[in-house]
Amino acid sequence: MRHLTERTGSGLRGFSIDNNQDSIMSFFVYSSGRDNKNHILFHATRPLWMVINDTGLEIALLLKKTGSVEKSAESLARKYGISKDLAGKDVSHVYDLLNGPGFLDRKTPVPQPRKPSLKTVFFHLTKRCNLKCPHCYFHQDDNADTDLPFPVVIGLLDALMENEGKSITLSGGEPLLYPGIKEIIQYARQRLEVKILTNGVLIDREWAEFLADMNVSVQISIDGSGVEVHDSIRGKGNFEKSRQALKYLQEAGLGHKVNFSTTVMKQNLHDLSKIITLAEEYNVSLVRFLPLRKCGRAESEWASIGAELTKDDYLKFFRYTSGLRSKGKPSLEISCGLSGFLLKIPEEISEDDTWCPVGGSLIVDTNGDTYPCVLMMDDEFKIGNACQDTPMQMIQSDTMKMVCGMLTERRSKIEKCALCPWRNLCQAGCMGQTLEHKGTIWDTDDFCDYRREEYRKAFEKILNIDD
Amino acid sequence: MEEMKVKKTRNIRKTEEDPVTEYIPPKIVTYTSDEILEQIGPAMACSPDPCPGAPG
Repeated sequence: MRHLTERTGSGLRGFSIDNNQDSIMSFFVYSSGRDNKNHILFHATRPLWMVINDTGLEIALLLKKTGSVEKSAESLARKYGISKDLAGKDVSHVYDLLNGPGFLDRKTPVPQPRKPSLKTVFFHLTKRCNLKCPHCYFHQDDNADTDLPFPVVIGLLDALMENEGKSITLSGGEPLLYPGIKEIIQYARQRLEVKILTNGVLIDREWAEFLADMNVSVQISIDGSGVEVHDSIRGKGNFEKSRQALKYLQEAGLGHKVNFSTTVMKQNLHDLSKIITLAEEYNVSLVRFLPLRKCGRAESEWASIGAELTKDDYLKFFRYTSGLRSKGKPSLEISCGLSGFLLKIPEEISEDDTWCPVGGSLIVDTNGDTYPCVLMMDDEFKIGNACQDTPMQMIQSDTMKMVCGMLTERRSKIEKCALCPWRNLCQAGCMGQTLEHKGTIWDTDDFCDYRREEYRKAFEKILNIDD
Repeated sequence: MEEMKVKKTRNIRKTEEDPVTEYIPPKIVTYTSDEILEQIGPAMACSPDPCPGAPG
């Protein structure tokens, strides 16, 4: 047996793979350092794993070595002094469970890139905004002529509905300033889920009732739990207006479809627990903590903002949110902003083994320029212009296909990922975030060590789940 | 050929003298993502939807 990079001290604990020259690596094994008779069997190239006991693992290795149920059964019967019938039945059982998902393939499977298909559109409707937050990732422009033309929006909605798309996100600037916003919502809601990203300041009782009637999901930017922190970031008087919006939305019956978005920065790091408390107070279902991005206005005012967190700050924050969740508190969902950390891809999005939504989304800028990801709005990744190209031309463009290919290839082409046993779960992390921080997608973010630590803890827990 | 037979006989004898290793049937367990959430909590299974790193 040879060991992958994850092997740790004891020599018993960590990852191992069968080093038989005749054997192709179609799975590898994680074993606990404790006297545990169970192991985790990981697929070599897919985000699949299962818990398997000593005998199951022995049979899996026999099957991989011999390529034959019969020979494996003979070997098992001989070793344990059991009947060939019993051995044959047990080996067949293991074979059936492992062979279907490709754990016993005789050659290492090659992951296939996602086929782009139109599922969602993210609209930047306007560059105008009623606030002037220094940390905004967007370039503000108060000229209404720079808004995304209304017919272009309707054309995209038609295409999305014709292609059985699922949802739209309306963003800006401040999307409530867009003149046709109510018509867009009324038109889209017939067949699409609608989400709006707003600072909440303009939401009065009438707006709240309209959004509730339309069953719109509302994401409100909350950067502090009270006047002191929130207004120091977003401007005087705005906390009270956003709080009032939350109250109106609750009263209109939309509470369960409201979530907070909080940009994590120096100015509010000490206040995050109180933001969670505020969210609980308003029955908000999800708090999304997002990292500060160095683009848009934030880039030009980076030095004066003085808001950037260190890697240690982020690690403390991730551990804090992880600790909250593991204690089952708070009752609402928290997203800490760290992509590429999950044990299993949820069934509803697992069709091609990839958690990143790239390939299904059109991200439309106010001038119509369209990109595959909000975090990849660079010329290099532009897939077309919504004012000139049809949605299907953009979704099927060579650039979109190239990006989908990169998404699949990153974990095998980035050197440190190719040697990492967790690569099929984290999938090299978020390529958009890496592009922003490292200037290339062919690298990872700075949190691989943290993910490894969390993965180890998680799988140790799984190995110790009582029957 | 003869030598091989002898060796085989010796091997069988040796096996017969050793206590037979106890046979525990194979067991394989898989989990759905919901079961993972139930078993070890949401901290270990961040939902990718909505995308954790993007604004919307």
